[in-house]
This record gives sequence, structure tokens and C-alpha cells, in this order.
Amino acid sequence: MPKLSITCLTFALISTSMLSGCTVEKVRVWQRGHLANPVMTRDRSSAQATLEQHTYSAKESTAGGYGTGAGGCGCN
Amino acid sequence: MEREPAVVAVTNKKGHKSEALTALMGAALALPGINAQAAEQGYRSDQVSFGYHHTEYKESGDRMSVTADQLSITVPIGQSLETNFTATKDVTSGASPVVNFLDGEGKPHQFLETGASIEDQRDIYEGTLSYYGDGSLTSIKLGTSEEDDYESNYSNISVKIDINDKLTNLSFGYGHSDDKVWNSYNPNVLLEEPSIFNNRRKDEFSIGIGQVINRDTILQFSVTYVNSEGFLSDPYKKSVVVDEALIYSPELLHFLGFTDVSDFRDLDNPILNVAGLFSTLTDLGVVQFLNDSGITAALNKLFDIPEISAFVFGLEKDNRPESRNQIISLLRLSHYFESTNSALHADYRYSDDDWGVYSHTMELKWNVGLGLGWQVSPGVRYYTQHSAYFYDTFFETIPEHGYLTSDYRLAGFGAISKKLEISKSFGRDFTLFVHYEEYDRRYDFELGDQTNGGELDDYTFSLVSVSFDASF
Repeated sequence: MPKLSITCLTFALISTSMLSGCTVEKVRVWQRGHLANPVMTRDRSSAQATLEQHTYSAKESTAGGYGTGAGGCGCN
Repeated sequence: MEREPAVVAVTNKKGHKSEALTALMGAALALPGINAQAAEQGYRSDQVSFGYHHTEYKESGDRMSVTADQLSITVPIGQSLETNFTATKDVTSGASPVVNFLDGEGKPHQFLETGASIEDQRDIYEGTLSYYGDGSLTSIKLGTSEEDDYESNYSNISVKIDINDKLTNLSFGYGHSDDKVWNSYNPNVLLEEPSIFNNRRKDEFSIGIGQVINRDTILQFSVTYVNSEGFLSDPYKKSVVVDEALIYSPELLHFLGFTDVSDFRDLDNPILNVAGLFSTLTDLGVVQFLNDSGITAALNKLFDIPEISAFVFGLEKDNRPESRNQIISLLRLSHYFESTNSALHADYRYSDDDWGVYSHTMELKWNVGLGLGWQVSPGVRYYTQHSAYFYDTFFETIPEHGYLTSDYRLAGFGAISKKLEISKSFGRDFTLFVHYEEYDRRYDFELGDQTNGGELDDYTFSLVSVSFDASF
């Protein structure tokens, strides 16, 4: 499965570059104020985020990728 | 303009973590593969919290509408555990595409059996137990979902581990579901057939990494592998196969005197306009009358209508491979802008599978803090997919591999969503949230060369949600 290999390779490359620290700033705890701002939380309502993904999965062929968990449905 | 304080505050006098600290931990912990609520909150609250969520969903034309309600409660246990229970009910009504009939020129037209309106209720119950360790979060979820024609029992486990002074997170997830699927046979409905009971199961594996890039930026990347096995077809949907239809057979045309015609499309005869016939019968209320009066039920007792319709009109059951393997990659970037006290969240998702359906999803969401607990979030999402190798709007003949579907969800298409969210926090314990979305699906929105599909499946939907969360 060549596409699986490409995906794994991409994951390895991105993960390695993220962990290598070559492009990453060593942000101290007291420097994380901006990261702590409420606007940095992507979804303010987790229920809404879950429902959005369920709606898309019922209407599109691609479902998931945002975390394991949901069961199937007989959506038409 | 007053802004949200962008500082790392400390525990307040009631012993609760401040909103800023909560968000800090949320930013550090929110990773793919983790229970959504825990990931969004990112810490174990020492309060009991309740959530209520209501959604109204409406598709264009005579298609479906859905009303959904959800209640959720989260309770801390001891020092390290938290449990969540969620109950959801959604009610679907309206009509769904059944088949694409052909007109006299051989052009397909979507048939919505509006005289056979769907009325389906879905009940979902989920329980989650989370353990907050020292630099780790483990969640186990069990859930069940029941409909008139579908049952799903599922579970998943997810683990998140902080490393590198909490600047890096690794996450792992596994999910499994066992589903039963059948069609809720209604003898009062034209073209429905007796129930068939089948099983399908799904296994998901995910791995993710999150990294604080600098003081303003977080990057996340995850890969999910999904394996589905069993009955993956839709028991309600059918496809027209020209070679299997009696009315399109050259022998019948010759018998009727059209000796110099070998293809019905050369005739453009109104008698062979099946799409027009069913459309007229539906528009005039004849289908509704037949169903409501019991005539359809009587006909279903006397004749095998699905068998006859398959023979006369060439209707074949939706038939998909009994295995599907998907690989889904997700890249998420969040960046804070101090000048506007806002954050841009950019997502890109790529999916590929052995059904030939590959897709791209791009989404931008801009969270703007307005002060006094207000937040406004405009967003836009673009989705595009390639059609499945066994999809077409109709078929000339049954493909050699034997699989065929005309389900609009396996067609090639693109879709653009416009969204707006507004939320208001009243102190730390109450939050009101409103979400609005307009979704526009079009055949010609597909990225690159257009694959199998058609404008007949174009539609729009709108969605309005209201949420209320409270902690005590």
C-alpha cells in the first residue's frame, strides 16, 4: 500500500521536525500567556464540534480523523 | 475595547482554576484522539457541570430535516477521575434520494419519494471515564446508538502523554464499533422491500503529536487508520441499470415496431420518460395517495413490487464491497494575534481509501475575543472528494466487479460551508453558545477534474445550534 507508506513517511517527517527543536522555540511556562488565551481553544462547545463532525460524516464519504470514538448510524 | 486577560492566572479563592489557566492547560492538552470534552477543557474540573445542546438542521427542497437535543453531565470522582454521561435524541423527517430515474433522453433525475416521508428517531447514550495522571490523560468511552433501522455499540480508549516540559504531546487512540443495519420495511411505501438484517464493524487506530512552536503557535498532526468490514451498502438505495431494464431492451422496441432503433435514447419517446412519469406521479400526489390509501400495501401483498420494478425499470440494489480501509491525515495550526486578541485555527485533512474516494478538507476558524465574556467566530470550510470507483448516477450495464451505487455521498463533488459562532460567558460558570452554518454542495465545486457525479445531487442545508453549559 504505497499511499500508506507515504502517509507514514509524512507523519515521521513532521513528527521528527516537531520534536527536533530546530524550528521550535523553548517556550517557558511564564511565556505561555498567549497560548492560554480562551480564543486559542478551537471549539468553545465540544458538543457542537462533535455534532458538526457527525453531520459531515452523514453527508460526505470521509468521516473522522479528529479522534476515535463515534458509533455508526443509518443516516441517509 | 476591553479584552480577555492574556495572562497566566492562579487558583482563585474558591480553589478553582481560573479561566486563563484552564485555557492554558486546554491549549497544552487539546490534541486529536482524546475525549472531546476532556480535550477541550484540558483539565479535571472539581465542579459538577451540565450541558444542554439543541440543533435544528434543514436541507433544501423536500429533503430531510433533523432536530437534535443533547444533555450532558460531568462529575469529578476523587482526585484523579472524572466521569461523563451524555444522552442525545435526534429526530429525522423528510425524504431521502432513492434512485436516479432516466428521462426519454437518458438523462438521470433524482427521485425523492416524498410520499414516503422518513420519520426516524435516534437515541444515543455515552459514558466516559477519564483518569488524569501526572502528565497524562486516559479516557475510556462506551456508547450505544439505536434507530428504527440501525443499532451501533461502540467503545474507545485514548491516551495522551505530555513530554518535553509539556511543550509536546503524544496521543494514541483505538475505537471499535459493532453495528446492525436493516431497512425498516413499511408495506405502505412504494419501492420498499422486506427487511434484511446485516452486520458491520469498524476499527480505528489513531496516533497524534502536538507541539508548541512558539509563544503564539501550536501545531498538531495526527493519522487515523479506519477499517470497516461487513455490510457497507445502503439498504434503501438503488441504481438504474439500462441493460437490465425491460422497457429499454432493443427486443421490446423492435416488438413495438421501432425496428430501426436499437437504443431508447434515439427515440426520445415520452412513454420512455420514467423520470418524468415518477416526477409527475409524485407532484400530483398520486404516490402519496397510493401509500396513504393502503393501495400500495395491497399491491405489495399481491405482487413482488421490488422484483417487478427491478425487471421493468432495471433497478438494482446498492451493492458495495464488504471491506473498506481508510487513511486520514489531519494537520491543525493555531496562531494567536495579540493586536486583535484573536486566534486563527487552520485545519487541513487528507483522506484516501481503497474505494477510490480521496478527499481534501480545508477549514479556517477565527476566534475573536471581544471582552466581557463575548467571543465571535466566523469560519469557512471547503470539502472536495473524488467519486468511488463503483459509483455512477446510473449504469449502462452491471460492472465486471459487480459493485454499484448511485448514493450521492459517493459521487464526486465539493462543498463550501460558511459558519458563524457567538458565545457569551457569564462569569466562569455559565456559557451560552449559538452556532449558524450554511452548507452548499455542488458537483462543479470538485477540485481538479470532475469525476462521476452530477448536478442532480446538488443541495444545501442550514444548521442552527444553541448550547448552554453550567458548572456548580
